[in-house]
Amino acid sequence: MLEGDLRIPTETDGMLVSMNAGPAAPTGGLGLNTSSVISGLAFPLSFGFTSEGTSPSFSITVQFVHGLTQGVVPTIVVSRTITDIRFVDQKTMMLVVPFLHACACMGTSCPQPGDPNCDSIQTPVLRPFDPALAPPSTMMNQPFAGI
Amino acid sequence: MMPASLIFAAALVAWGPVAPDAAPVTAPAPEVPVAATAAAPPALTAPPVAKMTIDRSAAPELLAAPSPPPPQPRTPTYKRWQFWVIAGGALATAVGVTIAVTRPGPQPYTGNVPPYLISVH
Repeated sequence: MLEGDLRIPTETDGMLVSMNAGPAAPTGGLGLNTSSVISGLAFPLSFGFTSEGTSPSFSITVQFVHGLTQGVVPTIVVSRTITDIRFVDQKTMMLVVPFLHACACMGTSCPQPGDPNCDSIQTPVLRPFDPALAPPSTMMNQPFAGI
Repeated sequence: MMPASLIFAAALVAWGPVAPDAAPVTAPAPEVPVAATAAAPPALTAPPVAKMTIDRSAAPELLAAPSPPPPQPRTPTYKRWQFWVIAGGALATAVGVTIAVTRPGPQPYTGNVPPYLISVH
């Protein structure tokens, strides 16, 4: 679940998600890369992952961008990487990751490491899924074919 | 000379008393081999059993022995409570196992934004 104080769509209008099976961070080339227009939506945003039983963990990079709907090369507003997210057998877990305006990159400069609200996260501690906290599922489609 | 009637009466006495009608069935008379002679009449001495008397008071239980009770009819299996306990337990176990095996798992969370749900292989 992604929380944030970014204004949609003035500060961000798109979200890029890269996913890689295993503990290594996505590199952009391999793995799953999706882009989504989030104009008209509001935080919190959420999506799910399901295990096919092969890899015990996965890693993702989420980037909120601006310009995705304007036909130009989008610029990264906030990017965070979470690696080695462990599946829990027969349980639905959740992870809340903030995307704050304070962590936004100014041009090509991004905040220096040291702020836990902005830094990458490795092997995060998950908590049991709380339907009262997570947005309700809005689509029961087939899962994306991951790696 | 003795009259013939006296001789006949003496023969009857020598023959012995007539055996009673209620002859004991539990003590059959042993067969006494009789020598077959062409001219000899049957022996005048009566078999020993014929002279035995039955003392009904000696063993009344032999004469009035109660017959064994008739065997009670066997209760059908389906009328026994043990049958239904076992059958019910087996049925409940089968239903429980079936439900546990066929019950679908929890639906995965799909969120509110694409890519909704990602399958990790």
